[in-house]
Amino acid sequence: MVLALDTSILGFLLVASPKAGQESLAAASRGLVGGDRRLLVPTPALAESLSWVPKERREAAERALLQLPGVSVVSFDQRAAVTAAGLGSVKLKDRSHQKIKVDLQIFACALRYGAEGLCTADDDLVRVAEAAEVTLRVGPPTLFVPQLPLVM
Amino acid sequence: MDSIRLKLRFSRDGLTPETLGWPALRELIDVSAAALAGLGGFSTRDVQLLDVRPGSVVPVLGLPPEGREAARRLATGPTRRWSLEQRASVEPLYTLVRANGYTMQLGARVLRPVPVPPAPSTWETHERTSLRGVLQRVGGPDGAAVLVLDHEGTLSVKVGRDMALALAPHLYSALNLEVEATRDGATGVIKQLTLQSFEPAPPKLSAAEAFRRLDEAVGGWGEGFDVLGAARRAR
Repeated sequence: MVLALDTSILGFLLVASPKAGQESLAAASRGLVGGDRRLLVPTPALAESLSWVPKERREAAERALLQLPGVSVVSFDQRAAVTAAGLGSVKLKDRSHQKIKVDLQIFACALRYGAEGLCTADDDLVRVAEAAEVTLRVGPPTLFVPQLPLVM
Repeated sequence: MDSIRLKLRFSRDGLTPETLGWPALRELIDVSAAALAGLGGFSTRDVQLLDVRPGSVVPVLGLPPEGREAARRLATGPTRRWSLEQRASVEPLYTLVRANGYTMQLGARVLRPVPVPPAPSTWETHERTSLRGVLQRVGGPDGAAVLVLDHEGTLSVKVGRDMALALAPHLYSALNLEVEATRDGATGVIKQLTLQSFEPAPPKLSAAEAFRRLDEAVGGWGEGFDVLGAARRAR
């Protein structure tokens, strides 16, 4: 199975002990790694998630992230850009178009590299996917791997 | 149940069912029915051929009520709202129309032109990008390096002597490659690759070991971090 990962999932891969109440999402996100799953990290999502890590730890975190089995970075390249341009224009009251553009770039990377779904812990992204009529399954880790542990 | 009578005219100089030939007319009707069924979300079995007007190629089709929306979509032409399935269902009709130079008109009473989009272009894209791959062979009389690239497959790249010597110690190792790639615009397949530079890629580890290193790399940072909040603020 080929899955693309959103910023929120990458955040949970980076952070072992997140804020109280988010432990189950962290466990489910980390449970995605392994098996024969191929996990694609779109470059816009990588940029967002690494920006949270303190500067002095960023390079080591990036290196360790890419040593996870099955994880590979996919570029927002020319074909992904053309794919993003073809996605439906989205208008949501509480989100600016500029912010939605990053979501569309992540969808485009997933589509361009043939992902079967986009894994996210962010409900907003699911709403944007519906509004943009993206032909991709978008949802939490348990949508794709139902047997994942809910708590670690 | 309501049904819709839809006329679909295909025209070209001197085109009649007789000059076109009945097998070709049958094919036109079949791809038209498939296109309308795909656009309307109904079965091709619900599309009935009612008549073919004499003199010019005007099949009259009987459609279920959803056919009205399907006809409207076909008359408008592809938009960003069309799903991949809808695009795929109409493509055989467009291909046939483009290949034969037909003009196409459609309507229940008044026939109006149907825009047929141009064939998917076959431009090439050029990009400088980084790829990850494993070096399988380098050097030899052809001066080529054979690389198995993630998401791209196996490619043979012509390299100079200096680059071949630099690559040689990394045989069967994963490498991060800086490349200039020329891709087929329609398929996305790499047609030509020029290797600019490379560096060894960090080896893949077991999930447990990789997470141990990841936790070590980020250290105490992240304890109690609000990932969902940060993800929403980032957007």
